[in-house]
Amino acid sequence: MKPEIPEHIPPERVVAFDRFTGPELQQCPHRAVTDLFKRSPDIFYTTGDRGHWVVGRADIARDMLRQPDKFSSDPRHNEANRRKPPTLPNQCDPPLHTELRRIINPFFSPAGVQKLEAQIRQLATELIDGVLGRGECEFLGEIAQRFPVELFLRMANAPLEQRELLVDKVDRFTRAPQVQERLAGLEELGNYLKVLITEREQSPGDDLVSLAVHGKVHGRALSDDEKLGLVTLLFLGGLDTVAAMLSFIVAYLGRNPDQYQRLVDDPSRIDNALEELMRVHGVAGTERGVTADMVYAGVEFKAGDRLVFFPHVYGLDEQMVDDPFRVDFDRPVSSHLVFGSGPHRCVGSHLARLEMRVFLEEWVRRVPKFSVQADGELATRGGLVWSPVRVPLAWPQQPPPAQTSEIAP
Amino acid sequence: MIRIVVDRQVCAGHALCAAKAPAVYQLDDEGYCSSNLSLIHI
Repeated sequence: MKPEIPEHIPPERVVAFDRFTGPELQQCPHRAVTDLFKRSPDIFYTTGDRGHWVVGRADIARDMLRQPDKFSSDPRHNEANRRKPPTLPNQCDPPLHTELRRIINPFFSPAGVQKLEAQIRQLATELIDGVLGRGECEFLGEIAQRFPVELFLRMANAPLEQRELLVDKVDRFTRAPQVQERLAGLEELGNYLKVLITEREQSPGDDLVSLAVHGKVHGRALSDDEKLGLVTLLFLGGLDTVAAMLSFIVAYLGRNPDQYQRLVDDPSRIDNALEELMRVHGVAGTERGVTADMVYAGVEFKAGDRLVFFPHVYGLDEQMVDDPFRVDFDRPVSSHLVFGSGPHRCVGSHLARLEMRVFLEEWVRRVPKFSVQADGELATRGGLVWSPVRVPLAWPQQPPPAQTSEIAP
Repeated sequence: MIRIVVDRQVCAGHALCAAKAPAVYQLDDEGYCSSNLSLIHI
């Protein structure tokens, strides 16, 4: 059943689009959604996913995301975004947001994540070496869904054996076409985390879950819901977003050998190149609820209207970036909003950058040439976080290391 | 000479300043921009 279009929404602002199942999301979603935004009003309304506004312009989105008093993250202003467990602090506004953020900020600051570099490099190396001799792999499942996820599970001191189970729950919450299925995935994740939280309440360690569980806001301990919300969001971020973005990036490099060769020839370019590769391969969206009736950017909003943002593609807005689809590793600034904007800007951005930079440094060293083994464009999936479905890669097999005799002559 | 003032009420703790210019900006233990900035010469 399609929701009715509310009365205050003019017909010329209604556009057909479903962020979970739309045809734009089945392949090359960045180009297809950018094209859709270009031929649609700057802010348009869709009946897809229970009905919501879509902000299609980067500059308007950036300004809105910086005004939590008008465009709130609190589900009180966005009925469709109510969920159990809640996810925090992305479902609350300052000042509580600021306090919750303060608990986890030290862990995710540039200096905080820098401590993890050696560990990140070691895992990247192990995973690449594990498939290297075969000359092929399915990158998403065999590497991308292991690399950031295993790192995260170690940070959380959660058992690695649960990896596939947890990735599946997060995948359902993030991309299942039916809302009931998404909420079921979230609830299952929450039930798993409740056990982990109880464990860390009783015997805290120096891991991320203990840090979150024993954090304080306004001088008081967190409520059970706040603990669960905070830990849930950490898992959602840690288990899916880097896996998806790294897969898009590696698929791009496999399909563009000239660009890849530049990084192989000079790995010191990876840092700058990564920013440009992130600009064109955003994966995660966000939403807000309108707090009061208002006219904003020429559009009439009613309190409780739901706004969905697409940081996935704001770096491809030609009003923000010249010739946005040209991937140029030498751009002075790769302007994008892939980590969002305003108070809710991604807390994990420094970790995500570090993970992807270190991974690419090790990848160029070990796999100097590779290609994507697929005819035509790769199939992708939409949802809260976009992702390729599979990324089959192949590379010339290197001669096995020279046999050494076990017995000295 | 340029003087940098940090408004701690507005700082959201994204730590972008420290990531871009670690020689200029330091973070406190909570990951927020330190208010103890000295005068910076350029």
